[in-house]
Amino acid sequence: MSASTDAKKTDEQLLAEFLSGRQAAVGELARRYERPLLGLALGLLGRRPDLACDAVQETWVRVIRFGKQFMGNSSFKTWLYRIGLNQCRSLLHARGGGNADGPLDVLPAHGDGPEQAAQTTDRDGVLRDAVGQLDSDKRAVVLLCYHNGLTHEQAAEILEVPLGTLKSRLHAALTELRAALGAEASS
Amino acid sequence: MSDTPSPELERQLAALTVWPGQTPGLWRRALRQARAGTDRGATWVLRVLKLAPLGLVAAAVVLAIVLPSLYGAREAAKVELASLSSQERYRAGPYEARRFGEGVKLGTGYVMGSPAPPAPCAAGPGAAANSAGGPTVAGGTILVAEGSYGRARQTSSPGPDHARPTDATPALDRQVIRKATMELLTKDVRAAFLRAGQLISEARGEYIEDSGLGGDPNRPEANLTFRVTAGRLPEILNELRQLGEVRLEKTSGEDVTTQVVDVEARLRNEQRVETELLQLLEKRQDAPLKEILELRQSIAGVRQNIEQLTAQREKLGRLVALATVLVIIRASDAPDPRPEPGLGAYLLESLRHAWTSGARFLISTLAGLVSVVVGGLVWWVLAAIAILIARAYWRRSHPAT
Repeated sequence: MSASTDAKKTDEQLLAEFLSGRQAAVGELARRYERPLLGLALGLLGRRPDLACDAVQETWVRVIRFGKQFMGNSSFKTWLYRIGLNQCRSLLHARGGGNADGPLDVLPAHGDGPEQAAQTTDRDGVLRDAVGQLDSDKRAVVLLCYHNGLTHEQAAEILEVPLGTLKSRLHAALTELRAALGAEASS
Repeated sequence: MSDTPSPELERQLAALTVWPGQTPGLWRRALRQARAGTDRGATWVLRVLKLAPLGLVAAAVVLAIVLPSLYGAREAAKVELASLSSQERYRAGPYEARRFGEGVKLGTGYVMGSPAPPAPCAAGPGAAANSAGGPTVAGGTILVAEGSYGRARQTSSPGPDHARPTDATPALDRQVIRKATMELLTKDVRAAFLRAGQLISEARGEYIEDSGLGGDPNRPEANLTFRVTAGRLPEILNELRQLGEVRLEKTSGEDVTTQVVDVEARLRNEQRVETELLQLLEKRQDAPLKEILELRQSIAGVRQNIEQLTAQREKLGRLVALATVLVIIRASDAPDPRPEPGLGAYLLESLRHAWTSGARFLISTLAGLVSVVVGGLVWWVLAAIAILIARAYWRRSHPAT
C-alpha cells in the first residue's frame, strides 16, 4: 500500500488497519502526530528532549497495546493527546514533582543568525520562565490551547474538562502570564 | 485587559510546543517494545514479588489475631456439645436408645472382660429360672427391676399383638439395667474385701465378676465388681455401707424396655414364619426336590435369625436381672503421699507452671502461624491471583494512565 493512499485515510481507518495487522499504518499515524506530540511533551516537560522522547515513545506503546480499546467516543487525535499528556504527567510525577522547572534548552530556529538566535533565546526564556511559574493545570491549558493544530474544543476534550472550564482556566493563566511578563519588562 | 493575547505572544506560546529537529521515529521503538510483551509479564512478577511479602505479613497478622478466637470458639462449642450430648444420653429414654448395642454397652460400663453368667438368673422372691439359662420373655415371665433399685418381680410378658411401649403407656413394666458404684474407706482393707466377697449369693445366680487387692503397702486398695440380682441391690448396698465409711455412692439405671419388646416382637414373628414354613414342608412332601431344598434353606435362615434374637433377648434379660455393683475399698488412715509444700516449693512450682504456660503459649502461637501460612496457602495463591487479575483489568481499562 503506497504512502499516498495512506495519507488519504483517516486516523481511525489507519488504527483499524494497524489492529488488523498492518504495522505500516502506525507509521503513517506517527508521521502525522509524532512531531506535534514531541513538541507538546517538550513544552510540558521543561524543554527536556530526552524526557519528551520517553513520554512519546511510551505513548506509542500504549496506542499499540491498547488500540483495541479505542471505542471511537472521541477522535483518535484527542485520544492520542490525552495519552501523551498523561504520560508527561506520569514522568513529572516520577521525577518528584508536578512542576516542570527543569532547564529549558531553547534551540534556535533554522535559518536564524547568531544575533537573532540570541534575541529569540532571551525572549523565549522570559516567556518560558513565566509559563513555568504557572501551576500544572494552567500550564497544560496554555500549552494545549496554543499548540499548533489544536482547537479549544479539542483541548477541552484532551483535558476532560468542559469548554467553559477550559476558557476560564486559560483566562486566568493568561492574566498571570501578562502580570509575570509585565513585571519582567518593568524590571 | 482583553482575553485575546497579542499575535506575538501567541506565536511565542506556540513556539514553546514546537519540536525543533527531526522526529526520531519513536513509533518503531514502541513497536519493538510492545512486541517484547514478555518483559511486561516479568515486570509484573517482579512487582508482585516486591509487594507480596508485605501483603503476606499483613494477612498473617490479621489471621493470627482472628484464627485463635475462632479456634477458641469452636473448642468451646465442642465442649458444650459434648456436655449436652452426654447429658442427653443419660436422660434418654428407651426411644433414644433403641439400638441393642448401645443399651448393652451402657449397661456394662463397669464390667471388664465379662464372662457369660454361668447360672440362670433369678429374681426376687418367687422368681423362676427357666431351663434355657435365662429369664423367659416371650409368652412366659420376664424379670423386671423397677422403681428404686430394685424391686425385681415377675410379670407377664405382653401378648403377641402387644404394641411397643410408648410414653402414652406408662403402665407398661419398665426393664432397667441397674448399676451402682461405692467407694469405701476402712482401716482394714483386706478384711473388708473378704467380707464384701461373701455378700453374694451364688444360689441366686449372683457372682463376682472381677476383684483385686493390691496397691502400695501403706495404701492398700481393693476393688470388686459384683453381679447381684436387681431385687437384692438395696440390701447389698446396705451391707456394703457397714464395711466402712462411704466416700462415694452412685447409682444409675438404663431403661431397655424398648429393646426387649422389640426383640420379643421380632422373635415371635420369626417363630411364626418358621411354623408356617414347617407346615408347608409337611404338606408338600411330593414337591420337586428343588423346591424342598429351597424351603429347607429358608427354614435354616429363619432359625438362624431366631437363634440370634434369642441370644439378644437373653443377654438383655441377664443385664436387667443382674445389677452391677462396683466397690472400691481404700485405707482410711493411709499417709498422704503429697505433703504440704513449703514456700520454696511453692515458688518453684509457680515458676515451673509459668514456664510451662509460656512455652505452651509460644508453641501454640508458632503452630497457629504455621497453620495460617501453610493451611492458608491456597487462599494466599487465590488472593494473589485475584489481585493480579483485578490490577490487570484496571490497567487495561485505563490505558491512558
